[in-house]
Formats: sequence, structure tokens, C-alpha cells
Amino acid sequence: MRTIPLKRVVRWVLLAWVPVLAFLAFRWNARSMVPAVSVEETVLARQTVALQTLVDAADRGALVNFAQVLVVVDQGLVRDLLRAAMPIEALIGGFRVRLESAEASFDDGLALVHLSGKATLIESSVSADLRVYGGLEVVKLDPQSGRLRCEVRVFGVEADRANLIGIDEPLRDLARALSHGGLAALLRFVEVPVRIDDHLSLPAVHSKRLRISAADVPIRAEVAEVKVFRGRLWVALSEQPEVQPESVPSAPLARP
Amino acid sequence: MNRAITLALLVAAGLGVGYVESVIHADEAPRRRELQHLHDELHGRLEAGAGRDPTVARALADSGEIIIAVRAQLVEDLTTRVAAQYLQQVTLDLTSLEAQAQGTLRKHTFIGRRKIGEWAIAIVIHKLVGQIRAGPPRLSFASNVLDVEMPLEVQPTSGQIGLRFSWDSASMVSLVCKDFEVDMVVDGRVLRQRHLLRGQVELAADDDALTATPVLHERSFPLKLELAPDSWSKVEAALASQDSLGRCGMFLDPENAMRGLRELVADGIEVRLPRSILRPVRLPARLEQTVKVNDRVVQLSLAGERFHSSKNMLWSSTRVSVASAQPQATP
Repeated sequence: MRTIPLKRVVRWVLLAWVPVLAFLAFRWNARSMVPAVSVEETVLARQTVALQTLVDAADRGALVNFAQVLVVVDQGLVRDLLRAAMPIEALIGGFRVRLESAEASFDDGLALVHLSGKATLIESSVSADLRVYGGLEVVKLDPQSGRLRCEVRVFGVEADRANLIGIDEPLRDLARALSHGGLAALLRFVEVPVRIDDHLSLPAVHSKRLRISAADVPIRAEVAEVKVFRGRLWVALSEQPEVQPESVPSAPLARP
Repeated sequence: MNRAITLALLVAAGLGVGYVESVIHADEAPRRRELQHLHDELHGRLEAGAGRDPTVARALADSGEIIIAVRAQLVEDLTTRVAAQYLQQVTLDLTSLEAQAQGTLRKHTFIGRRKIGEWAIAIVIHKLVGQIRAGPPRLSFASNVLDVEMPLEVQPTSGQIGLRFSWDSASMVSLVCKDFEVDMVVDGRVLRQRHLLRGQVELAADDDALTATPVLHERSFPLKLELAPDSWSKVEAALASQDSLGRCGMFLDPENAMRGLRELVADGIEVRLPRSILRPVRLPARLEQTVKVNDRVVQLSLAGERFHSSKNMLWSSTRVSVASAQPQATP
């Protein structure tokens, strides 16, 4: 039986590792450039889930099931509001991020917001084009202003290949940072110009014949449901009256 | 050289397998096609559902950037709560309120039927302060108005009422009959009574708000009074004291004046509610002319507001456009 020298065995083993390492290097690089699931597919999947909910509601005859107040907001207005606020700049993860354009598309269950701009490494001219895909979520009525307030939730971030080698890794960090709350540094909230007051004020009356004390009737409104379809955001608000203690009849001024 | 070629071939093979694997792995087509198919099917069903929903169909046909729809029931609930809180204790000051009645006395005389004189009764409330409470209103929506019927319950209260009886003899009779006036202050009271205020709440959209303006068909209501039992006796005694020859007692029947007073009291004194209670009230849902995107203030232009109320809904639609925005501070 012919023996194979150990040296040769080692060489074959090493050579066998070469394509494996090349394969791993390719996959690593490919993973960094192409997300495992594309943003489009992420959006499609989310839309499909949201659509199912909308269709179920429509089948029940409750597509916009509002008991008290319904606010309908057109996607064009939100797009224009975002554009009016552009450019938005912030320092995130070692980059100066500048968002310069915005699109909004409110269809099939998702209020999609597409923000585009540039990410530039601080103290360097190295930059990459950045696209942030997010969804607008009506969070609540702001307790201070009473306005409807929306936040943007990031679905995905795409960065085009940088103009210099070596920026990919920091860009991945930036994408990760934006996806995990970093967008809040750029775009914390967008208000919708609808205000729900927390009280109804009625002035005092002091006339010769009549005296009525001023009154503040509390209004406790909250966002009950948000739906998105056909280019619009459909926000149902509900108002729950404050539970008043049973009124005690006041004593008459004089005996009748 | 051979080694270098071998190495290069191995690297190429590794990269090639990596590429093929990534293409196979990244081939989302089947999964995506399936997802897209489901998406399209659901989208079609949603479109059909949207077409069946009258509110959705109306909103989609509306060109406003912002639509606010308010269920009539909410306006009714709010109105009821406002009435319960705001109009629970209304102070009604009747001081100096007056009512009058007068009549002409004609009698058959030896020269025919002649005017003997004129009598007058005046009620002046000296001091009487009462309370009114509003009951639950009854509302019904019409086009851009809300018809309202609101019961008012006047609480009973007592006070001082001034009475003035006067007799003005006709010129011919005055030769034998003297004029007289009787002034007296008696105890009176306002009875517990209910009145129904009828009116409308006009609903409109101004620059940025929905407003509700109350309009009453009739701002006055008759307030029923009653004199205390002993007060009637005092009045009768006072009039009887004038029922003498010199005071034309032979002509003036005190019962006549008493009847006038009773009718006056029974009819009540007209109380007119001031216009100041009919102020427009802003409904709590309204549009804002500025909003914030982050810390940046964006000025909006609101135009072409359309408002319509039907039996079960208020509908306001507004064209909204961006006018200007503050520049952002450089980070």
C-alpha cells in the first residue's frame, strides 16, 4: 500500500479550504449588499397581512368602523408635509445623514413612506445614496397639542455602493442603526393638522337677568383604529365621557 | 505556475459555487409570486368592499385632503353633557322686572254709556332671584342644523313684589271722582314650572373649526308668579278702602281690579333671555394651520372648506396645502 506523504495531505486540505473560503467570502459580501429578504418583499408581506385584516373588516361591513369621529388624510398631504421639512439632517453612526426627498403611498394596509438622501462619513467625502422605506403609524393624540401625531417605523434601508472601497461595513452599521430606532434622530414625528381639544369651553354669562358660570366640559378622545387604503389614512377616534359622580340636587333657594 | 493556476481555479470554483448558491437562494420568485398572487386577490376583494361602504365611497369621491366626519350621536351626547353641566345652575335675577295690565271702565249713566275712567295694574318685582335647570335636550338633525327642544325647569323661590293700582277718572267723571294710586309691597313667589325652549343649533365650518351656533325661535317665556295667600287679602283690603263715593267706588268694582291682577299673575311675566347665551361654540375636532415635522413648523393653507350635515353625520372636507416651512437648524 502506497503511503501519501503528510505534507501533501496538508497541502490538499489547505487547497480544499481555498474554494470554501472563496465561497464564504462571496456569500458574506453578497449578504452585505443584498438583504436576505428584499425591502419590496418585506413590504409585500406586510401589505398582505394588513390586507387580510381590511378584507375581513370589509366582509363584516366594518371597513371604516367609526362610532364617533373619523379623520381621513390624503397621502399627498403627508408627502407634502415631509417634503416641506426637507432637507432633514442628523449625525447617526459616524455619518452625516441628509434626507432630501420623500414619497408617501397609502395603499393596501400600509402608509408607506420612502425617504431618500445621502449618508456621508463624517470628516470625509465618502458617501452613499440612502433610501429608507418606512411605514407611518398614527401613534396617538399628542396630549399637549391635541394633534394627531405619526411616527415612522423603518421597514428597510438600502444604501447604494459607496464611491470608495471600505465604506460598506459602516454603511451596514448605519442601516442597522436607522432600522433600530436611529431614524428617530432624523424624523421623530409628523403631525397631521387635525386637533382634538381635550375640553369644550363655555364662557360665563353675566347679564342683567342671567348668570351662568363658565364651564369646561372634558373631552377624552383617543385613537381607536387606523386603517390605510386607497391613498388615504383613515383614523377613527373615540371619545369616552368622564364618569361624573352622581349629582346631588342643590337645596332650593327658598321654600315654595 | 501550475500551483498558481490551481489556486486561481479553486478560488474561481468557490466564487462560482457561491454565486450559483446565492442566485438559487436569492431566487425569491416562487415565494414572491405566491405572495403577490395572494396580495392581488386580497386587493381585489378590498376594492370591492370599499365600493360597498357608503362612507368610504363618499370620502373617495371627495377632493379634500382632510375630511372630518362626526357622528350625529356624538354631537347629541356632547350637547346633552353641556346642558347637564353648563345649564345645571343658571341664576335668574328677576329684580325690577315689570308687567302691566290696564282697562277702561264704561258704565251706563243718565246720559248714556260713558267712559268712567281707566284702571291700571303694574307688578314690579323688587327682589326675586331664582334658579333654572336645563333638562336633557331633544335633538334632531336636519340639513346643516340641529333642531333642539330643551326643557327648562324654573325652581321655586320667594321674594318681594310691588303692586301698583291706579285709577284715572275720565274728565267728566273727575268732577266727582278723584284719581287714586295704591302702592304696596307683598310677598310673592315663583312657582316650580317647566318651559320648553325651541330652537336650532346652526352647524357650520369656518376657517379651521366646526362651530355650533344656537338660535332660539323665541327668547322669551312667561314666568308664572303667585302671591302669598295673605298678600291677596292685603290687596283686596287696599282696593276696598278705595271703594268709596269720592274714589268712585260706586263705579269701580274692586273685584274688577282683582280679576285683572289675577289674570296678570296667571299669565306670568315675560322673561327674555339675553343674546349672550347664544354664542357660537367650537366643536372639539378642528383643523390646524400649522403642524410640526420634527421641530420644524410647517405653515398650511386651508381653502375650500365644505360642510354638510345629514341625519346621522357631520361631514367637513378641506383642501389643505403647504404654505411654508421653517428652515431646519444645522446639526
